[in-house]
Amino acid sequence: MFNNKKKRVVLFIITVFLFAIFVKTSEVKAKDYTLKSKVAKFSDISVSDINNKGTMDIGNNNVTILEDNKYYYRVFSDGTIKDIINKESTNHKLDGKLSKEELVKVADKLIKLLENDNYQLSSIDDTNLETKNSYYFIFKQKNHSNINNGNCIGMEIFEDGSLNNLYISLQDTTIIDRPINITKEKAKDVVFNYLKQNSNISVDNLCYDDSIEDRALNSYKIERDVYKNTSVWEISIRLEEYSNFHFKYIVDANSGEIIFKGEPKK
Amino acid sequence: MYKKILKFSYLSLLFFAIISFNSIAKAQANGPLFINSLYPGWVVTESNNYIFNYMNNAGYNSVTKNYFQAYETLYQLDSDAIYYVNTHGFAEGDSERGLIANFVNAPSSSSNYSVIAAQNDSSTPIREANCTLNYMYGYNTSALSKVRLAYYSACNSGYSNPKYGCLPQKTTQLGALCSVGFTTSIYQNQSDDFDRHFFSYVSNGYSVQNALNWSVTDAASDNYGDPGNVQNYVVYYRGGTQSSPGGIYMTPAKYGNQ
Repeated sequence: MFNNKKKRVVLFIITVFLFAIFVKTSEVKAKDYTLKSKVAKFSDISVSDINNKGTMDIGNNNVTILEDNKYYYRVFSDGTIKDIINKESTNHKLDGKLSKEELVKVADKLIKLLENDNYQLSSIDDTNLETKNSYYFIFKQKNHSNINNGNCIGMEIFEDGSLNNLYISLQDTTIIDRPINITKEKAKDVVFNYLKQNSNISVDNLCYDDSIEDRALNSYKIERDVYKNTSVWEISIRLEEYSNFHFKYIVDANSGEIIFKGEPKK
Repeated sequence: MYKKILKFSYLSLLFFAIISFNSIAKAQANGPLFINSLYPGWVVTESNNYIFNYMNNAGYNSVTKNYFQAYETLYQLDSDAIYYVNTHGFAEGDSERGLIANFVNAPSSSSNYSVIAAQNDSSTPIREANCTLNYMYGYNTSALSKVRLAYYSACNSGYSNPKYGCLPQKTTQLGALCSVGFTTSIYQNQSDDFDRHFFSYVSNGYSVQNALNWSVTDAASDNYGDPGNVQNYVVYYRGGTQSSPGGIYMTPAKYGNQ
C-alpha cells in the first residue's frame, strides 16, 4: 500500500512537471510567433523560415535579431520592427535600373507591407546616387489634419529597387493634437536669430520652399512634428554654399528652445 | 569519491583561470587601437571615450593621441590594428575634397592647416609632401597589413579626388584589411552617433558590414529621423576593392595579418 502511494506521488510530480514544460514551450512558441509574424508578412515567407539570431541591447531596449534569406530584422518584444538591413549590402550588384518615380513606388509598397497607413513622402536625397547607386527616402505619417504626427520611416533603396536599410521611428501620436505655446513665426525667429548670432549666414534673403526635393538654394522650410515624444517645429535650411545638404533645427514647440542642431561636420 | 570530484573541480578551475589569463594578456599586448584627434585643444570627448572603452573591453590596447602635425598620425598607422581618426574634411566643390585636415589654429582660420591625402599631385601638390600615404608607405601592398580597420571619420573622407586619390581605398591598397570613409559631408551629431554605435557593434562581435548598416538606422532614430548623410559611408577591402570578401570582424582582438 505504501509503495502504491509512493508511486502515485511520483506520477503526480512527473505529470505536473511535464505540464509545466508544455505550458512553457507553448509560451515560447507564441512569443516566437509574435516576434516573427510581422517580419513574415513583410518578407512573404513562412514564420518557420525565419531564423532567430539572438538578442541585443540598444540603449534601454532589448531587441531580437531575426533573419530571412535577404535581410536582418531587429524587432522589439511586441514584434514591432525597429529596422531592416540588407545582408549583402556592401556586395550589392545592381540588377537593372529604375527611375526615381518607380523607386518612390517601391518605397511606398514597402511601407504598406509594414502595415502602416497614411505615410507621405517627406524628402528624397540623391547625394549618394553616384557613389552608391542609391536614394534615401523619408516618409512621415500624417494625422487627420494632415500634420506630421511623429511617426517616421526612412529607407535607402538601390537603383534596382532593392532595399539597403530601413528604420521605423514611432512616437506617441496623440501629442501632435495637444496645444502648443510657440507659433510657426516665433520658431522661425528663434532659429534665424541663432544663425545671425553664431554664423555669417544671411537669413534675411532666404525664401520659403517646402518642396520634397530640389529645393531652391537659399531657402527654408518649416513644419510641425513630434520627436522624442515632444511637440516641435522643424526648420530646415538649404544654402548655396552647402548645396548638397541642409541645416536642420528642431525647436521645442512649448519652450521655444532649440533642442537639436543638425549642422555639418566640416 | 566526493573528495576526488572536489579535487578535480579545483584543478579544472585553476586550468581555465590560467588559460583565460593568458588569452587576456595576449590580447592586451596585441592590436593597439589608435584614437586620434587632429585638433589640438579640441577633442570629441564623448564619442572618443565611448570608443576607447569599447575597444579596450574587446581586448585591444586603446590609445588616444592629439597630434599637432598631420604626418605624425600617418607615421603611426602601420603599427595599429585599428586606426580611428575623427576630424574635419572639405566640402563638396572644394578642390581638396577627399582630404582630411588638421587645423592648427581655430577651425574658422583656414590659412594655417595641414592635410592628409592618399597621394600627391605633381601639378598641384598638397601643403606638406610628407602627409600622403604614398609618401609614407610607397606602393608596398603589405605596408599596412597589420591594420585590420582604418576608419576616417570626416566629411568626404571617402571621396575619390581626381588628383589626390581616395584615402580608404589607398589604405587598403597598401594592405589594410578594410577601411571606412564617407563620400559626402556628414552631420556632426549623426557622425558622432554613428561612430559610437559602429564601434559598439564591432566590439561586441558583429561584422563590419552589419555594424555599418545598423549604425545608419540608429543614427537616424537617435537624431530626429534624419541620418545626416552617414548612410553615405563607403568601405573598401584589402586590394582597394569594394567587393566584400565575406564577414569582417574586429573580434577577437588581433592584427590584420594574423
